[in-house]
Amino acid sequence: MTWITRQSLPAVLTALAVAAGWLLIFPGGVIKDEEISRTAADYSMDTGPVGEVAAIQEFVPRYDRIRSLGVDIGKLDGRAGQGTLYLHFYDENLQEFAVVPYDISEMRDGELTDIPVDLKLRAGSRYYVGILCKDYGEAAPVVHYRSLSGNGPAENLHFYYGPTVIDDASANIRFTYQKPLHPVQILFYDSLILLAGAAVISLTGKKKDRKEHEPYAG
Amino acid sequence: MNRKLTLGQKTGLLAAAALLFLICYLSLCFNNNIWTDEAFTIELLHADFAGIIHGTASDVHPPLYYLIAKCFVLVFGSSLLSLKIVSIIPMLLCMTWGAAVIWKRFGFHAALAFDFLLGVIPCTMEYAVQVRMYSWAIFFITFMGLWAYEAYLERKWRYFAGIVLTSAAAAYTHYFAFVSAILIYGFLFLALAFAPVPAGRRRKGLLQWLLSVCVSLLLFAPWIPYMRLQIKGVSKNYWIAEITGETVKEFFPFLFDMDIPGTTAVWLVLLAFGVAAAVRMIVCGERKEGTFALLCLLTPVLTAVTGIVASNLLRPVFIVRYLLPCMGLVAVFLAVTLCRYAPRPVYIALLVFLFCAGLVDYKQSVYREYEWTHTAETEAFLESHVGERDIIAYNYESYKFVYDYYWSDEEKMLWQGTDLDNCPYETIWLLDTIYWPTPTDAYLAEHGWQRQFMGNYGIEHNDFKIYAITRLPDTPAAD
Repeated sequence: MTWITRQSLPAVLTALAVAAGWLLIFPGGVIKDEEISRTAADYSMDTGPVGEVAAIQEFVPRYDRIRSLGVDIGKLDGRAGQGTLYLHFYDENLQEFAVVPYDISEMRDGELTDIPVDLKLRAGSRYYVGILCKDYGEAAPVVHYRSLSGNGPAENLHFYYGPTVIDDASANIRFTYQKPLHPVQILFYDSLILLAGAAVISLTGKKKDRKEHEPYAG
Repeated sequence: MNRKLTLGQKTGLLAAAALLFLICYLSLCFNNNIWTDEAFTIELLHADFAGIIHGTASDVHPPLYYLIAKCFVLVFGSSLLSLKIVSIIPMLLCMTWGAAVIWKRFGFHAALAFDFLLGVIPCTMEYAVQVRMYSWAIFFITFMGLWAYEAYLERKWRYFAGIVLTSAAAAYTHYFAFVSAILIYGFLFLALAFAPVPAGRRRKGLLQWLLSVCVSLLLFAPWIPYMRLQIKGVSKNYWIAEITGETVKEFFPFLFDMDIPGTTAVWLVLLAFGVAAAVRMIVCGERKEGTFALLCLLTPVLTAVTGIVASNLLRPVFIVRYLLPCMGLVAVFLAVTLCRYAPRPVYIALLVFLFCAGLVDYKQSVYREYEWTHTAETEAFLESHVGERDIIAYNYESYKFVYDYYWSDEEKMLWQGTDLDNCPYETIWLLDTIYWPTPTDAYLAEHGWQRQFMGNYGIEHNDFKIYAITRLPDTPAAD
């Protein structure tokens, strides 16, 4: 490797770093795009408290990775403002494969709160998410739901309160997916890495080799 | 290979860049989506010139944009496409005429980068095709900034005349463009009054500056009584929410986010490099150029500060959208500073990056203009379903003037207060938003009607469900 001289070493290393950066973007996929899917705006109804009985939403994800799940609970005028809410994830054979806890005091009342779950799923397969609270003190929160037929989202199938299906109901939920970058977005990050690489090479190169712009005319 | 481009090739490249953005902008115009403010513009343009001035006086903005649009409408017709083209023209003027001014003073590289930056700064593409005044405000403020610099360097009357016209036009276009114009006048005064003068030379330009300010004020004077009325109205009641730290933090994503991770940070890093380059220019003997660049960036910063202070003193009157008029100056700042120290490979990489950023921006704009809202589906659905004896009903009263654009008063009615017992229509197509309770099955049945959910539809920024409300089989129609 005698062709790499001491002078050219920074440029070679930078070129390698740029190439590595490109590979990390594609096919590495270190940066992902996001897509959000949620119920349409509408009036919400309440389940019973999710302390002893869970609210369960059956769903079919559209992409392979869910970054967060937005959940809308009611805190019953502050009486259900403490404890821990657990999201229990089950596959189509009702095998639980993930439990995600979240502090109820950190959740909004009557609005969606995004709970980071970062789950790898199979797009198109059926799953269930159960919402159940523990250590809630005076009262357990309720879960808000809407009409499925009018509001979706497309992912949601049946909505249960305990073992009972609530007709035409859909938990007010927001799926935030991570999905691969579009080719145009890959080009954006690749060109950014190229720009950074070119800037580093020009800064580390010999000063006399740098042909900057002529001074402005003034 | 280090071949130098000929003058013709450089001109061709600049023209190609402008043409590229023109094609992008035009391709975003073939839709029928309008939002509230655009509906206001369209409604106002039905009036004559006097009506427009009176209509604007009772709103919150000054009238110049509406008058320009009205002139255009008189010549080219009032289609939405021609109104969108009105907004594209100033962007094109910046990318050609503005680029030529930058070329003369800062070279071809800065001029070409300016074209790309102006087109690619994330917030500009959306507003370049909106039936609003922002692209014209960008044009006036950008040219005022460029001519203020020329006036400072050359002290020629024609540049002072230029800043008189652009400042007055900016003030007549948007009040926060007016604020930016005042700031530019202030910067020019400071430069003329305090910049070092070579020994033995007389300080010049202050009289020209004073005369320019007076003429600008004189030009704006006829509007001052209306402006006072508008301020009075706004101080009683205005829709803008209180400005908090969180609001200020959201300014940056609005201006620079491209809907993929990290883009706001990328633009902020570019701005930081720009500041570093400007400081280096000042330190290394290009004081005027570096200072000019920094003042281009300072204009939006101080406009925002003015807006925030005014909001805290009076009532909230500032939103980040009002910084759009300064985005041309941000593009000038980045072009002048980033190109100054960029060696050829870095410059080419910068252009490649800006081109790719433009692709991302364009993809997002296509989504926003054609796929995000359901306007086309809504129009198609209602066109194919609404019969002669039917009516469209809406329950979001504030949106009437948006619906007015799509349907005449004979084709639509307000749902609230509808007398279902004496309703002559065969089917009521209810655009059901969350702003009024959905009629329940029991309520409808009580009056001999039933409803059927037809789907989720909407018009830009206004989602609704459509219900077909029809008579129960054994209910006779009212006359």
